[in-house]
Amino acid sequence: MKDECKTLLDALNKVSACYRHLVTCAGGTSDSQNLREELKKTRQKAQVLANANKNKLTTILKDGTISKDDRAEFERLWVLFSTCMEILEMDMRRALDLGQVFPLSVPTKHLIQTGMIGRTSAVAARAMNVQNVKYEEGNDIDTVDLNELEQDINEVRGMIYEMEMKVNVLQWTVEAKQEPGTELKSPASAGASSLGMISVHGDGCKKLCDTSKICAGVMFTAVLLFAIALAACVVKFA
Amino acid sequence: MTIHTARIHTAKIQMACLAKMEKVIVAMQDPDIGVKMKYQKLLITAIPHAVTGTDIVEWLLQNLSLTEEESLHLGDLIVKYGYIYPLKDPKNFVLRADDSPYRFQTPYFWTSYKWPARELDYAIYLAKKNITRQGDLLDYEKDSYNLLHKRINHTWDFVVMQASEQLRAAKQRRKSDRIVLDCQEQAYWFVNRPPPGVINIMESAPKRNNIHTTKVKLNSAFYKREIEYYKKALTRSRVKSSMSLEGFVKRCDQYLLHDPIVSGCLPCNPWITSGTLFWTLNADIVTIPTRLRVERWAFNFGDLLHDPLGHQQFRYFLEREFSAENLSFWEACEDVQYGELSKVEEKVEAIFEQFLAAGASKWVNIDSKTMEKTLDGLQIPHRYVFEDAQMHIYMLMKKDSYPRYLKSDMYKSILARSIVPPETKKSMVPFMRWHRHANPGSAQMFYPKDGDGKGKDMTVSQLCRFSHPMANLGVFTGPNIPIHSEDAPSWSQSSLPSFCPGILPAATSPSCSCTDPKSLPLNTDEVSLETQDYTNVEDTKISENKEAEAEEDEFGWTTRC
Repeated sequence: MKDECKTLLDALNKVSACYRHLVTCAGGTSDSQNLREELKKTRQKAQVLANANKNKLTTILKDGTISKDDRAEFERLWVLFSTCMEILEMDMRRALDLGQVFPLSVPTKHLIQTGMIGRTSAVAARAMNVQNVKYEEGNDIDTVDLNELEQDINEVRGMIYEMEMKVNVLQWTVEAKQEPGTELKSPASAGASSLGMISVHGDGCKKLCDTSKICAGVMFTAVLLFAIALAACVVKFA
Repeated sequence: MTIHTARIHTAKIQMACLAKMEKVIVAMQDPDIGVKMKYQKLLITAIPHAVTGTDIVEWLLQNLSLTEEESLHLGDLIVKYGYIYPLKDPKNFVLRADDSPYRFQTPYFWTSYKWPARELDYAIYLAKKNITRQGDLLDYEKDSYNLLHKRINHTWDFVVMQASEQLRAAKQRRKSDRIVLDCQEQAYWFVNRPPPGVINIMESAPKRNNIHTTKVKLNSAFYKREIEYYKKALTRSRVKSSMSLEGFVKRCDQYLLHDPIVSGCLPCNPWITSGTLFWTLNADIVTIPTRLRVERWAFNFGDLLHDPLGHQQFRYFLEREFSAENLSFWEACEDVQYGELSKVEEKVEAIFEQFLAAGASKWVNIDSKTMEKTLDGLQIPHRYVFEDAQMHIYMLMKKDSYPRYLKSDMYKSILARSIVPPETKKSMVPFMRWHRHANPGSAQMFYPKDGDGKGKDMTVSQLCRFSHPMANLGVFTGPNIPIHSEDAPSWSQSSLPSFCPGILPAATSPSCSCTDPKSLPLNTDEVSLETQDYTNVEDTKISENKEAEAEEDEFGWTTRC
């Protein structure tokens, strides 16, 4: 039971993180037509997952026959779920706003050149657990999508309201399981650290790295040549 | 956590300045006339869409037709509000007009009041940073992190989960995009959660109570009050705007010369030049008043009475006419009105005995009706018991004594005696700073002896200054003015140009005015300052025509060299 809920919640979490990432790219230069489609698909997936989550958790919490510890655990999951929904709703509204401000079907697009030039398809693929994302929509994704988006937002809002009405969970009574700083020990940290190093060095002392790298390269090649010369001499005279 | 879902979507209006900045940013992106983009060269990659500071300033200069200073300032504002962030020095949001690189912020991260930065998002960002930097957060970030952990403890697990997921999602992008994303987020949070010591641009002043937000119950009491109010408003007497405007225009015309802002202060504006001569000349009781002051007494009776010197003069006049008791009565009533509450009773008694009782020493002539009313009111003495009587006497003086005073010899003589202090100008010698204090001796030099023709000349010529703008130029001593003359200080010769135009060119020519050292000792006596006089506008224009350079330094002094 708990595991199912957890996996569902993780899935929703993943999808909303991807959605968030995609929304940050909206209005910029990274591939906006496909981006809108990806946004739509991700959003739909998120809604499906949200519904599933909601149904499951509501039934569990309404059921009075679970133990106290279990109940506490489910309440915690409930709180996490509602925060996730909040974030999702906010991102959806941002997406609507950005979609209206930066329409794509106009002849002269005024997209902000933000420096992001890559494609976001990989993110969307991750969100939907597929290898490749198929793009089907036509060119009028702007207007059609925005209307649908509005409806979806209303749906989500309705869902949140329903949730609050049906299940009475006191949020402040839920305590976090993780202490501050536990994320440092998580496996995600190991992989992420390398990225951190790159970005740090990338922005900062580039000149210094440049010169030191060049020196190292030069020395290495010099030593290599010397070694080759020595080997040649040895072969010749041996 | 939002408890009231109905209230989530309260419409918050974007600040007007931010909307305008957004328009500028979007205009900058125009493929035809937008800003030129360059590449930011990093260690391994080159990231496009970088802009240099000079490019931004130039674009603003050309496309918005601003001056250089303005475009630099505007660019700086845009950077401060986070629409463009610096790449080389990410902790310092300042626009430098050199080739330091900047980049545009993605619209999601634009500064906004519609979408304020939330604690939850900040917590997620800090968690992400914590992971990437392996715990190496800045001090204030660490504090915020701990604080947030306490505050949103209930959803902290979600924060951690979301942070790690967001990082994993970001890994799906190219390296360069990841770097850009990092920079973007860092810039966003630098603006929205500034480190201690940096100005928080999102800070707004305390909100006033908007009358439209206070709830009013629309019940019968409310409507009754409204009806009463509008009934009274209907009966209000109204003046036609043509009449009131006429009156306003007349007043402005009359007081035009007396307004120190419009017409300047003679001799010099004490707020600008720190010279107190103006106040000395216009002190309460002074033997020789200024012309403007005396002229003002003729405008209306109130002006005369409220000016201490005028009041005194009027009293002398009334004493000559043996009707001074009116003024005394009026003064006593004023005293009651504005004096101490505890002394009101005794004052009222004293007034009654002195002025109103039958056979009083200074009996005032009030009509019977007012007298009856006043005597009735005396039963319960209060401040305003003599109001009607006072008004009656005031009107009497105004209609009777006041016009006679204005026609009297007393007034005319004091008008003739009054002086017009000359404007003081700075001497044009560069490299020397004159003391900004008035030598009282110089002012006294202007008090003409009574009946002195020379004095009359001066006053007449000073009056000419307003009609003949060239008169202002005459301060600069030319070689043809005697050096040591106590009776005629250098500026008195200002009257000469109005009659002898031939002197003018010499007076304003650079050679003689600058390098005449012998004129210096005289100039020390002057209050060598210039007033911020609007009439001087003509002054400087003419001087430009004469090709004399006039520089203004920070105190508004013009030096001509």
